[in-house]
Amino acid sequence: MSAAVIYDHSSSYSVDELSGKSFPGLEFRVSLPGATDRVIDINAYLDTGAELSIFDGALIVPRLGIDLMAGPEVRLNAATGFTISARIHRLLLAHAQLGRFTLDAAISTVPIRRNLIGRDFFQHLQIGFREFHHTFLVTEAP
Amino acid sequence: MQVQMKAKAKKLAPRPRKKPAASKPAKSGRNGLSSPYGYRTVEMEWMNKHPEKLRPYAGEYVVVEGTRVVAHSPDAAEAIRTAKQRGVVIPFILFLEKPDPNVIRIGL
Repeated sequence: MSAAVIYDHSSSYSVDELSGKSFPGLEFRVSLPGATDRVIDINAYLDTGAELSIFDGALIVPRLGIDLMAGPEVRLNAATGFTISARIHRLLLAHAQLGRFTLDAAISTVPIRRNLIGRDFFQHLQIGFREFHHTFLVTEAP
Repeated sequence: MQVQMKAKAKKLAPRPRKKPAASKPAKSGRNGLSSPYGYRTVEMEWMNKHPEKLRPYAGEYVVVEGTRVVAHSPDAAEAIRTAKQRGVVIPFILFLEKPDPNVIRIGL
């Protein structure tokens, strides 16, 4: 079976500022739906291993004024086996070229070092990774 | 499965789909709208080209605006407060992990 895809956008990998390692990532303007007067810009890794998008509560909560513990609790389980607690909240993610997306994302109750964009986001966009070239391609999901 | 980049896949039947959100180029200006190509292209390019400017803040949250770090702290809320006091409207905040050659990242 063969398939052909036309991608609308391409992006170079982001570069970690201190380690120099590159990774597929995107910057987003994050707010609560209907409350776009309080926004924060963050960067996040694209992670196909994450069922949900996950954001550092230490970043999101103070800026957006979220009642973190009011959201349903989930347990985030990493490949290493450790688990942390997070709460689900509806967030609006805006990207300058890709548009706006509403996600029921996990917000960690403890600080985490990286924000992750997960498979909930990949339902909206189709992404192709060109790891050898440190680029990735994006288009609307079919 | 072979993926080709040239021809568009044929569709057997039209599918209803949501109208994509309009993607307008960001306006030029201050506080996050500084590039027509993205909200934070200026900041990202500066950080990629000048990691030495960020090394003093390893292990801290930093707020970057344009081509400078306007606030930093081990506590994200404090960094955001400082940035607001210094006139930042929309903070672009990130955590600078201390580099360790023995660490492999696996997502979370």
